[in-house]
Amino acid sequence: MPRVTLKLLLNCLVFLALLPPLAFMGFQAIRLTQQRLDEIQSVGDSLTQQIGIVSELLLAERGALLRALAASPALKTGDLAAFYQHARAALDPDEGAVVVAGIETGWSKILLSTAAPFGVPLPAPRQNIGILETRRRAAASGQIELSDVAISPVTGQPGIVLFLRAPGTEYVVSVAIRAGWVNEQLAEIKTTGWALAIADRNGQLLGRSKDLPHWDGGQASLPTWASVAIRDNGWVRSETPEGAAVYFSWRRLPSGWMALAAVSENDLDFIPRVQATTVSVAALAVSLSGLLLATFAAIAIGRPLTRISAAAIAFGRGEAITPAGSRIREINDVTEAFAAGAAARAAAEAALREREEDTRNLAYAASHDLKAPTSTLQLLFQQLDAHLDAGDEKMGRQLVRIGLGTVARMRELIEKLAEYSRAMTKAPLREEINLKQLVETVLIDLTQQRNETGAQVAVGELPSVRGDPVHFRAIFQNLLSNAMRYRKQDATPFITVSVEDSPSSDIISLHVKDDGIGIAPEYHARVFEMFQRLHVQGDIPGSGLGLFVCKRIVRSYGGDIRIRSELGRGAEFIVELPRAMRVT
Amino acid sequence: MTAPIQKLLLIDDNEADIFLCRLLIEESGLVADIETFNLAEDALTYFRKSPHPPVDAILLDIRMPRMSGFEFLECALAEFGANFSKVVVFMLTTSLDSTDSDRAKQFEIVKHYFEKPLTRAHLELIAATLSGFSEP
Repeated sequence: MPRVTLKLLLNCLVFLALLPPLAFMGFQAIRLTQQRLDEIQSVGDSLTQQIGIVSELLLAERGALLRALAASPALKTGDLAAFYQHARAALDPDEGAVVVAGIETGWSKILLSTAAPFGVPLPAPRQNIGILETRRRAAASGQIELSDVAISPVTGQPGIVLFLRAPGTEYVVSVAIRAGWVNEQLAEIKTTGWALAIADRNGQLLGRSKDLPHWDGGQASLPTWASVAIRDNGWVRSETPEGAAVYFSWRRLPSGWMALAAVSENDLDFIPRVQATTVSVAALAVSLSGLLLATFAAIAIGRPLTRISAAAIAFGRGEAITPAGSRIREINDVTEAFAAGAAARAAAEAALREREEDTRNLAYAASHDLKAPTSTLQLLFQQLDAHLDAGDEKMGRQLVRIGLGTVARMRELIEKLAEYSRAMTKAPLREEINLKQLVETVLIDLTQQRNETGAQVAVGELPSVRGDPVHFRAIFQNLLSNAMRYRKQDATPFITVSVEDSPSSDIISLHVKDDGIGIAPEYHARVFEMFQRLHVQGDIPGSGLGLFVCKRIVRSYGGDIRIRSELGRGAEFIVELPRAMRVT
Repeated sequence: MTAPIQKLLLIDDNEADIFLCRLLIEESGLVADIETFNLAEDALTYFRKSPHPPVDAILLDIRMPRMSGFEFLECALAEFGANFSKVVVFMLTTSLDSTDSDRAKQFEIVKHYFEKPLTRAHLELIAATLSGFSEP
């Protein structure tokens, strides 16, 4: 029928027209589903790995373990296998049980660490291999789940409950651990978290998942050593036949499993019983609790330990030290002690280096700057001898004048050196010094130079400081004398002495400012060096020691001295002193 | 007979030393022309002046204000090349400290380093060194 055929044809056309988008949508859906499945698969895979990468019981002495942990380079690289090998090689297996474990979560990589000895003898190493194997099998089969935080009925502290399906896939084992175990006393770790498998005293496992639901919401009893009533999701107190208090709780997992957790009031009594009855599962649980301990330890001890180790290494190398930033006071104390020691040592070394440099400079100076006038005099006397022989009295007199000038220069050098030596070697006084009075006294000492140059000196209000008057006289004597000496030719020097004394600053600055010839910036550092001068004796005489002495004195008070100057535009010397020196 | 040292430069910040050395040099008859500077910078300015007669020898002090003898030598070598003077002689204050003489040895142009004070024998040594230059 053409009409029917037409309708069929139309339908076919519509179908054909819709087919590509439909097919596209279908493929997209399949692709997205596949992607999702892949994601889920990879999440599952990583979860499997996350929980049980490496865990093992070791018998070890804690101190040795801590030292080994701190020393292991694997702590930094995150290579857990290497870390484990390192720890194992370093440990003494006789002292007690320690869990070394590693866990890698999807969010952060936490590697390794330690739990202190549990205080109980754990299975011999041979058995531990079995435990490890058990745990590995559980990890490999993906039968482990993590649960969340619960509040401990014993301590009121938050804790973590961990659930896993034991090998054989039927048993649910729960592990409870107190989160508050991280105490300032590391030794207390052993009395806190531990694990429990649901088992009877004959080693028979209880709590198969298929058996659990009938406990839900109702009264139930564990037929052997622990009788417990579970009413809701809270914790329920029970007692073992021996009278030890035990707390139970249960959870229904998203997967539909039921799980139990238990905490004992007296871990030390309890743990051996668990081991005796259900060695493999209990130890498995113990190793898992160790895993959790290790996780905490990684955060609370491991990182600070690496910082202690880093601090010790930095201390050895004399580098800067970062505080551990741990909640554990002793760990902070150690790094802070390292940091304080390093700072003190750095300060002492800096002072020593300055002294050593001074000693070297003095040795150099003695053989050069102090010897130079003697070679001048030697040449001079040879010439004098020759010219007197020749009867050249005029030249003889000129030579004698040169000789007297050389001797005067020698004398000034020696006096300046003596001044430096006095200032730096005597035990410094700590007297109250009125700086204004002190500057006035210095100006009286400099009367001759002031008269020769016609210098005007304006002294502003100056504070009182606590220090050695000899030092401050030397500072102002040198600075004021320089200010007059390095004046502009044919100009009358104008000099100001002032203070910058803002309570908001932790230094007070004394300023000596002149309008003299100034110093080009490239020589600002050099003028403070021993025997360094910018002018020849013939132009402006000087020893090359004055500013050096000033700098050494100011630095001995923890202060510094600097210059503000340009060539031809005057110079301002700024003595910066710690505010603590100020007398109020 | 011409003097074995035609042009000698003396660079020393100490005026007394310059005066005394000049006396000694003039009396020796070994030097035809002597130029003195009490700042190394002034000596550099001298070399920058063009033209200047060729320099046979420089007697160079080490410890000087602003620019030391070593700094002068480095500057001059960089600016004027290795032939700015035939010979450079450092005048050391002391032979007790090897710091300066060790450093002086590193310059090829430094043929001698004498301990102060300058003597006629020192000048004769320079003259002998210069006569070696003119031989084939």
